[in-house]
Amino acid sequence: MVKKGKKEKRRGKKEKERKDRKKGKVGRREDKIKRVGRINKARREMINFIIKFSTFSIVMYLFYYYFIKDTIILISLKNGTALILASLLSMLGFKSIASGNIVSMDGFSMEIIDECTAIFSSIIYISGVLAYPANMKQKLLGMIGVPILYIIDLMRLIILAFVGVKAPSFFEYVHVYLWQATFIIFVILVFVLWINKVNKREYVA
Amino acid sequence: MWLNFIVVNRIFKFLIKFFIFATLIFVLWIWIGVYYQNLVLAISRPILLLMGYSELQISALRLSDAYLVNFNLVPFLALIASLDIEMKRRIKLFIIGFIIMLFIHSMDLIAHFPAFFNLSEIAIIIVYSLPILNFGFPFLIWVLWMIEPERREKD
Repeated sequence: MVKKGKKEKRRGKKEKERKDRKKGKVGRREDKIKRVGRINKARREMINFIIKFSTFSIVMYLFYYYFIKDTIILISLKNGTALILASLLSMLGFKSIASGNIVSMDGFSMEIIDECTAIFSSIIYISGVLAYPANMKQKLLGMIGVPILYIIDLMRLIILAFVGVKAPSFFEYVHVYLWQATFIIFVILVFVLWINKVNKREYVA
Repeated sequence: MWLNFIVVNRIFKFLIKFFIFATLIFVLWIWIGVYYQNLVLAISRPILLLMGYSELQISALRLSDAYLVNFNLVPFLALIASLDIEMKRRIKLFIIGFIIMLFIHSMDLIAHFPAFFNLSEIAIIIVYSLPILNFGFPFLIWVLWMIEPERREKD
């Protein structure tokens, strides 16, 4: 009697499963489970990215602070940037001379400081590339973004010099707001292009 | 070519939106910025008093032009405004981001005191790290939006 009851129960269960599958209930349930699984995986990736990005940024910033700041490396970078800037400005028709990290033009001079070398934006960009889930080859490819950011920074300096000579009253606005504030968008853009290359997907706002 | 026309088009649209919003917010910021700076000071003052700095030392702080320094709220807000997301999420991002930025700016202002009065190494590191935070935070917000689970699921 007991055996029969168990068999009937099992049969009933199987019958219910068969009916559910017919109605598509099981498929939907499985889809939901898979979907939740994918969301959880993406959440884990997101948290992983935040932790890695923060760690790389802090480590690189401390490395800059203790081993690069005020050393011959950064002084050379600043002087080199000033020299390149003066050459580019001369090519564009501005009489300019570089002396150390200072670029002098007609009645206007600019001092190249640490921020002018795109070092901070590069730290953020490199941290983003290293934290993003990609293989080593792709990450190495992402490093191309650093010289690109440097070139954009040089363009920024050229525009600043141009504003400084032609419209000095607007210099502070262009320097503080327009460029420093919007330079981040170029960091994001270079990062988007790299991700686009890595994922071959269209990750843009 | 890996960078196709659709991507370039979307980047271009995003850039235009970003610059329009950044300009509008910047115009507003000229007036709002000074109130924001006062808010940062109001938060920092009791902490500085607790740290042992006198009212005289705190009041010596000249903030007349300092509000310009906290401009990174402008690209941050422009970034949120330019994102193609629903309003509820936009507000959520704005509130979370604003609170974090307020915290960062207050921390920066507070760190200036031990950095310059006591030459504290940690405080100097915090003060000099502001450019990193200024760049890093909007970047992180944007990347998080991009890889957020629900959006991925939609894709």
